[in-house]
Amino acid sequence: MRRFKSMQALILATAALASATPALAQSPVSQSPEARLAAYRDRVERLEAQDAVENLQADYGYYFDKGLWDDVADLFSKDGSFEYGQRGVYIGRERIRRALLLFGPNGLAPAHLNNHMQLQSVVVVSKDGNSATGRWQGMVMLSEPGRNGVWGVGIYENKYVKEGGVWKISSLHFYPTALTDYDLGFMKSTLPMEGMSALFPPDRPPTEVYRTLPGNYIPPFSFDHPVTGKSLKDLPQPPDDVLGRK
Amino acid sequence: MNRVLILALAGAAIALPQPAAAQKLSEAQINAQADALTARVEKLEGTRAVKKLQRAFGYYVDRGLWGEAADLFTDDGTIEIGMDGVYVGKTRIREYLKLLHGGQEGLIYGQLNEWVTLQPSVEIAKDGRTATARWRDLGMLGQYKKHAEWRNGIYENRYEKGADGIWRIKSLHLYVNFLAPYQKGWARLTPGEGLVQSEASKAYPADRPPTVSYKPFPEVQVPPFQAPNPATGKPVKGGK
Repeated sequence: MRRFKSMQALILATAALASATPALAQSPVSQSPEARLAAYRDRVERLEAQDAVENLQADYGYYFDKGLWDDVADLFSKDGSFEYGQRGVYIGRERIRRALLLFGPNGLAPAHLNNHMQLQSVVVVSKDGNSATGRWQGMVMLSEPGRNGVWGVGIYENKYVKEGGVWKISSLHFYPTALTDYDLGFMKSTLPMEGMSALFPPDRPPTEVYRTLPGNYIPPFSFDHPVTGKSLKDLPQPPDDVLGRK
Repeated sequence: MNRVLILALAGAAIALPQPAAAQKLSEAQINAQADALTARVEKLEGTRAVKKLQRAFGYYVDRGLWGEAADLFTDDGTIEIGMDGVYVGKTRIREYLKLLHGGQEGLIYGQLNEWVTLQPSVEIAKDGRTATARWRDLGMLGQYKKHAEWRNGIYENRYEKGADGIWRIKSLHLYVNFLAPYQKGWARLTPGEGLVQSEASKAYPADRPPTVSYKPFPEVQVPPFQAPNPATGKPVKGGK
């Protein structure tokens, strides 16, 4: 019996040490200084990665606002992808550079407002430290000459990759969840999303079809529940008669 | 029990990939690596400190705590908001903020004054002693029963770590893109309407004139980026 317990402790201890890399720093002092330094370096690198990803996404928003399309496109990895609402998926930095022109010319045109806020990040860096995911809240303020202003809100679910030591966006997916005419407001007006462009069609159709408010689609969560550890990637979606979803 | 522990550690050692740095290091090498890590942690702490500092500024101004807001600056710190010009030093900054909000300590009954400060992109200098940051401003301003406005702007600020190890604001520059009446919204702003010099700065002139000529919405204004594009490392030209 005693022997059995020891074996059990051994298995548990081994599993705990092997599975949780960040927990290394709480490992026994008997560890060599070399191993402890390496473990600390890993943890520092994860924190640096989080900061780099947060800057990267904030900068994406600042460039996107002002139609600085070259600077936006350069933030993507070579085979990165870009998906905005129901416009479909553009793949590769050069395709993205051109697709961005669907949002307006290079440099914001006069009397246009294209504010895309990047807020409320939840960033998760992978175990190996070479990739990350981020969920963001995206409030939107739009304007074009001769039309009412537009308020919008949505969710970003993005992926990031460290390419040659530099963090880049490997996949950006903005899910607008509600759009409205400024004068009417969300209570009286809900606007649909733009569809796929006929002028410059995407490489792939939208990865998920859904509607903005009054629909209440749940963009799948890249991060697991921080307390229960449960995945929220595959949640039941609200019914939609056109899609045949019950 | 000791035996179990040893066995467990041996098991873990097999299960974990050996990091390259796990070779035997000299005392000097260990110290050098620890120092390098400390410097990196200090930069991470600097980023947190800068974020806290700027958010505190927003929270203090929100509630009319002019003195608390001014105390966030270095002795030679500057503030520049819209077309009001540059105010230098804590005393001048405090007085300017106070006059900008009606001239009293705190807020007036019914005064809406939310300086929502969002989307930081923080760049800590190589030596870890200074920093720059870009922020988004979403102002909700007004006076109950009288008027209400949305403000939209961009901050490009500078920060400095003092000899005492405390981070302070060296320069705060809010490029106001527009101040739009809530009811009519931003879409109906006419040229020149979105940004005017405040009455406060006319009555209490700045130490220096505005550093740029502003082109508020519906014109296009791209506040210059202090930080380079993080992916290419090149300056962002759109802001010039």
